[in-house]
Amino acid sequence: MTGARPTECCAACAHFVDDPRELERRLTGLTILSSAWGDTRGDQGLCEAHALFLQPVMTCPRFVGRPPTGAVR
Amino acid sequence: MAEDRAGRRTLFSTEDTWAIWLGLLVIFSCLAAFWAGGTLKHLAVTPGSWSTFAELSADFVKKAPAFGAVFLFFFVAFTVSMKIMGREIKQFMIGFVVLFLGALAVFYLAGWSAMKRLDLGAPLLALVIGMIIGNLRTMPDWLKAALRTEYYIKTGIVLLGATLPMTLIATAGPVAFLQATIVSVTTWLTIFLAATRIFGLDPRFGAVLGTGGAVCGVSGSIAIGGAVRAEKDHIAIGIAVVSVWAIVMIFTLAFLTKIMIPPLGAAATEWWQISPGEAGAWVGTSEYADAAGFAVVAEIATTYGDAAINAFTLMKVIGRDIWIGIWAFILSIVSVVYWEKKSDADGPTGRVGIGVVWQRFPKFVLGFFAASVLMSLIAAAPPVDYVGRAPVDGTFKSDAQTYKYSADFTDYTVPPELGERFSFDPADGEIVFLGEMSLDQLDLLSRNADAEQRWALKQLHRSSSWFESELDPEVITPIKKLRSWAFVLCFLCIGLSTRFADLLTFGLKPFWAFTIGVVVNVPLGWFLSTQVFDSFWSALR
Repeated sequence: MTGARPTECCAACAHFVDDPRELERRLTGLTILSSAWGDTRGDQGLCEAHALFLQPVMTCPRFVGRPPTGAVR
Repeated sequence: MAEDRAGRRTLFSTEDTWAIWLGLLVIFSCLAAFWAGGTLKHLAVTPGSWSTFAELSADFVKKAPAFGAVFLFFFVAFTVSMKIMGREIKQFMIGFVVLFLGALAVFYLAGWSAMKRLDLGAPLLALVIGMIIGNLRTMPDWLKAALRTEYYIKTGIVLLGATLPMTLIATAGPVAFLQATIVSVTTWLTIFLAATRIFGLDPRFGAVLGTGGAVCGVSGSIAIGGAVRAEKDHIAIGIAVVSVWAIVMIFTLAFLTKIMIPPLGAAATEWWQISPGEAGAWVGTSEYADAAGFAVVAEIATTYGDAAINAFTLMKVIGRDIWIGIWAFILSIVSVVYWEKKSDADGPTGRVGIGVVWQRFPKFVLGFFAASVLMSLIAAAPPVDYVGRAPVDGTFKSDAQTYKYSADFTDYTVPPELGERFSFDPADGEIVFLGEMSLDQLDLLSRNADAEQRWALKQLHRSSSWFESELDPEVITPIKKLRSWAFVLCFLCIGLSTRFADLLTFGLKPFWAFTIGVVVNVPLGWFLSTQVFDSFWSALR
């Protein structure tokens, strides 16, 4: 990516789902011929706020920090 | 979790990197056994052919310990890697036992003479059986945990690298790249334009569909989805459409190529007949996912050898897959400049940098290259004192010929130029050659020989090759057997995880947009593979 990741980016946002287990559960059929644990998915994830599939470096006004426990949702 | 996320992209956290480690572990294990004077070929086995239950039982009893060893290796390797990746392994372990037993059953079913008469190999049987079970019953979670199609195929592809010489990759690479580029760009533009101009779909959706058809299937759709900020539904529908078409094409291409390839040993007599190499290149341009394409070419390989697998790998993995990062980078720029709605004030912003080219690069391909380089270097440096031996009474076997010969070298006159390298050992009934015999040297030796002696000399020529007589049977063969296991595990996973009721939920617009791409892609792939670059692909072995 271009330079350092901003602090308030998708990677640190509570709306951002990048856990591979959860992605494979939400995207039906993903595991038939692919995987959420591979490099082509990498660290991309689903934004629940915008219903978009995004790179983790994106930023937006609806950023909400992840809870400190960081439990897998 | 934050630390976990930060460290996730390490050398031990993705299936890509683990496929490299497992593949190289297999290759180094086979090499270590060979350098220690042994071989793993007695452990790395697959079920044999059978006609009667007695033959089946005998084969199983004989190979059962080896099956146990293969199972143990894969079970431990996959379980440990899953654990390190941070995944639930209790369910995986149970599921993998069942999956492996299923693969064993499929191998044995494919070895049955009745299946051979039907021309059904293990790859297609695994798919069909898996699909029947998967669509009749809901898979339990413990079995789902072991259905890791992508992981098994990536491991198999790394192992494949050990059997594909680097020189072949270097010479074939430019042709594969040229053909793949023509097909990829044409297919992508067709699907994209059909999606956006004919059916009025969002351009980002068109890009997701187009990349799925043109580059690397579902993985391509995912990689591009993030780069162009596609909607979640675009990704979900893209996955479904690409998967359905990929599976349809497995059966279509397997059926067509089986008809179009002439019987083993026969030359093509009709304009529409194609060689296994051309078939592999065609599948490489017209299948949408690695695992799906390998199902077709592995099926061809059960009868015609590895030419189709090699051509497919060059076309799909090297010609198409490795460029996904560049597609992601270019389309991310196009998306920002042309496609995104500027009115969405609270939408996500940010730029995708050039680093995405490396981030989306399928790293397991590096393992494939490493395996190829490693084995090519070893094959290029045979021991200087290697001595080839051939019996004076024996059988010469090649892909094209089998001949049982009986020669007498008692009165044979050795050409003086080769007097120090060729000898006859009457006590052991063998002829011997020091070092690797060239074709010119074979020709020289054959001038003084009668017909039977020539067959024995041909056999000696072959056995003087350290690669063919030592490295190939002792190292490459066990690697190929383990590759076959990885592939059949993968094909069974595709079948078991494909539930058409779950997939067939998309609307007709994306389906037809993709279908138009298929209609262009398949004939174009056939034309380029069999009419434009046919001499190149036909020569591939």
